[in-house]
Amino acid sequence: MENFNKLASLNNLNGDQEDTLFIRRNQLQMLKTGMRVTAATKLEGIKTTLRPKFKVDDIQKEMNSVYSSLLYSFEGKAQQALAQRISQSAQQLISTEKDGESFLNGFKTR
Amino acid sequence: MTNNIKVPNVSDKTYFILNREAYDRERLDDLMKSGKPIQTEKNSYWYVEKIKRDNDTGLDAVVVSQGKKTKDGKWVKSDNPENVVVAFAGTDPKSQFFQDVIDADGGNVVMGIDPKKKEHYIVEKDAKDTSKTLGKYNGTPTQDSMLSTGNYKLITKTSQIGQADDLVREVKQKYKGTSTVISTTGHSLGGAEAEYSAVNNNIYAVAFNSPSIVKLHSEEQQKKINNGEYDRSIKSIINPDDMVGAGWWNEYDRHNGTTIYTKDPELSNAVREARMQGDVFQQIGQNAGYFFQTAILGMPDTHWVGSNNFTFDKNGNVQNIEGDELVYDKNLKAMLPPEVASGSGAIKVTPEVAKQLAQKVNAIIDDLRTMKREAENAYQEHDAEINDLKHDTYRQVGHGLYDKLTLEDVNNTLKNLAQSFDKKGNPLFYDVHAEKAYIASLKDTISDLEDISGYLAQIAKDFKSKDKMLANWLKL
Repeated sequence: MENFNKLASLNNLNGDQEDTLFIRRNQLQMLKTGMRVTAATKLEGIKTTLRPKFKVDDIQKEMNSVYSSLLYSFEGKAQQALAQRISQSAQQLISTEKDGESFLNGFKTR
Repeated sequence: MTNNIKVPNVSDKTYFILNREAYDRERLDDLMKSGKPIQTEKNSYWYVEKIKRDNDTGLDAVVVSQGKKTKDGKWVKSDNPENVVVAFAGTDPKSQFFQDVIDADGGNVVMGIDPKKKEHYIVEKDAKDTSKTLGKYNGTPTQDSMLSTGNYKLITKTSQIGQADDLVREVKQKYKGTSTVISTTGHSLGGAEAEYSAVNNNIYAVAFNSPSIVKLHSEEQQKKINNGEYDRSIKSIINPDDMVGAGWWNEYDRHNGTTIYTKDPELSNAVREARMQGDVFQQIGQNAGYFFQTAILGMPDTHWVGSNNFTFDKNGNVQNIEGDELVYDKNLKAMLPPEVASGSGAIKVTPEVAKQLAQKVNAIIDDLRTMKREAENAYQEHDAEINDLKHDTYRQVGHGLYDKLTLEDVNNTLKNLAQSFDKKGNPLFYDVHAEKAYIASLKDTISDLEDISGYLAQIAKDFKSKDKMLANWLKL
């Protein structure tokens, strides 16, 4: 009888612990979800602040007018060689624009 | 540029839409009657001024004038339009097979027959409308007997390309002495007409998937074309996969002005090379097969003036169809921004202009340096936000909804959500590799523009040596 009582009390204790563990697990899951949502909102805010600072549209437009003036001031082979140099420069600017976009898109939770 | 040809303030996209409209005969007839405009873009309205068709030759043209906005915001036809465009519809194998495909494409474009060559047509003696005659005069006994009755007469007509040229001359004459800028546009055979008449009338043109018709011009004009005198006033926008626009057999040497390919032609050229494998009969078979597949069956369609072949950016400039930002300038053999490839409106460099351009580039470099600083310091804003998140969450644990959780749980959760960690083990929610790549890219761009600015500053000081300096700069 004594042994039976001991076992019963142990079973009860395990049940309480299990409940606590279950509640804790649920709370942790809720916390993770809540923190993920808040972090995502904050990171989105950072992106919104940074995006206009990294815009290169105007720079590209300005550079296109520089490229055009330079390019059409030469003729023949000099112009063709300059076109390659300008192409390289325009591609570098595009690559910077894309790298900026990748950097901004990188602000996220795992 | 030859005779200072005026470059109209009309986008590639507007020309493209006018081309599509040029094919819709019924709609054009309705618009002509109703006086309603064609809207090509936001704040761009065009009114049908004239429709010119010739069923004998296949000419299919529309003259449109740019509308103006009244004070109360309405669009109306202008007596003094800023722009007038003559748009030519192209080959229509369904309804005008003989006129378009055989006579014009086959005769003028492929065989190089002079488009100004006149041919005789029979028409009723009192006919007012000579756009559809009783047919070409071939000197048959029946035709001769008809003429002998006195009820019929002979008239002469040039080809539709020649007629296009005459129409443009007529329109140019109408607006002579005004500020109106005349330009032409067309697709396919219509593009050839637009280019041909633009060269002869010294006006601006934008053509889409147009065949090369350089050889139809006089020797003297061909010299000018080959010297690039129309490179900035005539633009042929071509899908390099399209046989009509890029070359039936081998790739065309050139169009009348600048040829802009809507994508890098490397792959198209490789496919063309594959078509040219084997003996001449195999080549004919392969090329005919490709033409039938793409131009006739449209599998895939490479030729039509549609959004599958041509797209435009928000400013109406033609774009690379594959989504890249640069298009291919065939004459310069380089991928360039569309505005640069067309070269329209470019100011030639003088010592003073070079100085101004160097200043402009330096201002851009300053902007990029600011950008680089912002990128380098972006982590500060990130750290502040993540710190806020951590401390806000700290306050929520140990009681209420999170009574079973501790500060350590918050730290661990944050670590679980982070992408990586800094040297001190702090969680990071941005891609550190992307951060490094962006800063490095900005550094490279700054250095590249410093190089260009340096050259501009040099030629501003010693303009006479600009060619020599260019050779040194580019290590030629």
